[in-house]
Amino acid sequence: MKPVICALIFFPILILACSCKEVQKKPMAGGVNLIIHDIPCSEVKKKVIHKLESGKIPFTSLDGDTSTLAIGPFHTSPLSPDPYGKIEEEGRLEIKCIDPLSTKLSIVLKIKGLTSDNRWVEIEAPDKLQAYGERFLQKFMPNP
Amino acid sequence: MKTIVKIGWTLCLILGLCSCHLDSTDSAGDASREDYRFLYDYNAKELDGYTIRWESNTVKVYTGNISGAESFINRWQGPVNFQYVNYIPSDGVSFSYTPSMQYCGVTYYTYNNAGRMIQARVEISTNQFFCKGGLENTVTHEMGHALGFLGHTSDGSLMDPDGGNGNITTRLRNFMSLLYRMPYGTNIKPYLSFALHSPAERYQKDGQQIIERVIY
Repeated sequence: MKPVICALIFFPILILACSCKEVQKKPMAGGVNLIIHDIPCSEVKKKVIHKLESGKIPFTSLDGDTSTLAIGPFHTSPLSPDPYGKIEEEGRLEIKCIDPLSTKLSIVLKIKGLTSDNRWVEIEAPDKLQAYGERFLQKFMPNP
Repeated sequence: MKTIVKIGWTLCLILGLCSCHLDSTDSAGDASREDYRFLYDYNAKELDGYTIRWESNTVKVYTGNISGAESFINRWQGPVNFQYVNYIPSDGVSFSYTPSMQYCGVTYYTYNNAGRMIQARVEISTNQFFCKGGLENTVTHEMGHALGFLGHTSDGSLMDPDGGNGNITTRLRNFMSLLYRMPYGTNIKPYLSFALHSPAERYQKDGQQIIERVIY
């Protein structure tokens, strides 16, 4: 009986002790981020808003400031080889000042594709969401 | 007597287990808790404690024919290697000159929520006359950002906003060594000596979840 009790105490402790430093690897994700270094953050914010306005992209502030914006919905062309007539993009853009000269833009998009039989279907594959998110950020990437 | 020995061994194991997060060095190497803290502050903080870096330790770079760029970039060599290419890589860093007089250099880069850097673009002003340390400091500073250094230091070294004295300090070298010793998206929170208070997780498994704004 005693050896059984000892084993019951020792083994879980040994297993936990051996695994306590294990690092975790994250699975693939769909959100995309853009970091801009060495341009004043306040200027980046102004330029992004200006690009949204001049590109006639509908947006509303979610925080009363220009830090979190609801974007869209708006229509764009599909990325190759997606078999859709057009794409509807809608999402949330976060603009965060890491420091006065570093800005982070984070976009999470909800994407729908128009099929040949005129139906909107949601595109949920993380790699697709990433590709469209990347295109979105490239489009609105402010230049110095 | 046997019972006492067994109790002793059990206590030793329990103590070992409890202290496994309290040792000052990483069991896999020589990184200190301070090195992890620095890595957190200037990289992993932006992804809830998960690291952001290029997938490979060999990073593709297009120098845009900027004179001397390779030797300035090679100052970071060690934990990372550079493969110089003559095209703009879709999965690497590209440099180009800009006539803008407003800034010495600017770095843009994208990464996904798994911590993998996707693409970086660096623009270097053709006029470096008023830039501290000139072209060398500007190119090396921007490359530091393009490798994953987020934000700026205030210790007078290369990653200060103005490039400081141009030195890559031991702390900066340790930062790059540590970052490129682990795969992208490694959770370094278990190595930190302070409790993290994140009101909301920004990490998204599938990219569908809404990102909440977090003020540090």
